[in-house]
Amino acid sequence: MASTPKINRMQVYLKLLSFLTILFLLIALTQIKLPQKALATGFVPLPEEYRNAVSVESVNGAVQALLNDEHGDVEQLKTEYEEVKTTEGTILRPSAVNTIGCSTDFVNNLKINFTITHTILEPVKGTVKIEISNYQTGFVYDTKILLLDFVPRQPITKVIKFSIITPQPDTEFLIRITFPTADELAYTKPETKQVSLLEYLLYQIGITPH
Amino acid sequence: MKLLRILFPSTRRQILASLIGLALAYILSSTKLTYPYRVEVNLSQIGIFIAACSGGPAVGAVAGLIGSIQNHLTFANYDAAIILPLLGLIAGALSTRIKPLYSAIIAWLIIGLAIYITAQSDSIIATQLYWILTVNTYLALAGALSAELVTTYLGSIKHEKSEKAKLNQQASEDHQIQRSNPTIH
Repeated sequence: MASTPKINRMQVYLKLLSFLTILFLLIALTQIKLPQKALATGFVPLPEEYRNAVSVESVNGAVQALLNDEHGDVEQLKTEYEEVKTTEGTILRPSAVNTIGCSTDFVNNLKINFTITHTILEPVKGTVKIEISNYQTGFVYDTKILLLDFVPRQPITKVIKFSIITPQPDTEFLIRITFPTADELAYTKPETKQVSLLEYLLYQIGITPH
Repeated sequence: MKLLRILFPSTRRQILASLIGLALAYILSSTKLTYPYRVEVNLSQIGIFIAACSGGPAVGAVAGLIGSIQNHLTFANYDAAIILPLLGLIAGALSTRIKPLYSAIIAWLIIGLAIYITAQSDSIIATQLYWILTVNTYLALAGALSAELVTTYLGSIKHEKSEKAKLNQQASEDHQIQRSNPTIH
């Protein structure tokens, strides 16, 4: 009579339903693909449509020129620099000439302060390049690249420091602040890729799965 | 004899369920599901748990080995050929004492904990380790439920105590029916 135990059907259905649900989720979360727009990463160029909406204003530079003499002593040169705005950029020109012996090692600590104003109406990212070169020879001493967040109606002010070694004192520096194009920058372009349902959900809650 | 009954399937139903488990372990070992952080799993655990809970620890270990034939996945730093037989062995050993549902889950928790503790000393990324453990725990739950369902349906449960209890309960119910309705013999 009692060869097989009585099965509680309700419990079995519940377990079967749980099993199928877990199995479905296990497979569905990885096999269902959805389009997900991946944001650009790296030094993203300022979009073409906004290039005319930005302008670099009030570029200020301060130079602290140091002399390293042959005895290892460090001396600060007494030179004031004046700023001259040109179409090429801002020139930092020494107002006095120092007479130095046979030293060939001058350290110029530059502190560049600039403000970017814009009329961009949505939050975008854009890269700005700050280039320091010799105004007379055109030799580029140093370049720095910054990724900026453009927020509507908010100008951006940044301070950048450079330390440039020159063989002569009283160098005229040319500061150029430009917005490099896509060809000049290394970045991953924004793209729409197919991601699994689980990855899509993770993106939605702000987690970027690798 | 008792040891043999514990280690290997002793009834035809247990043998049948074990064979189903072994077959599933082999078939499902070729599946591959990829989760974030390049965590890959396959569904062979379902077959391993069915075989282990029906056939005992020896069959569970064999199912684990079969499940790792086509399975080149790793659990943190451990090969599937090590983890899966261990999983089958532990689940099979536990299933002689406790219900398949719990034995399968506890077996994975033991293995998962061992992986977690040992992986701490290695250079594995913490986030990836958590994903490995989370996904496999979820998978183990599916395996545990499937083992419970198959053993219940086929009557191939290894858990002797619960089987005896159910048989006794059934017998007492039959006895009560007979007493309340004496015309039935």
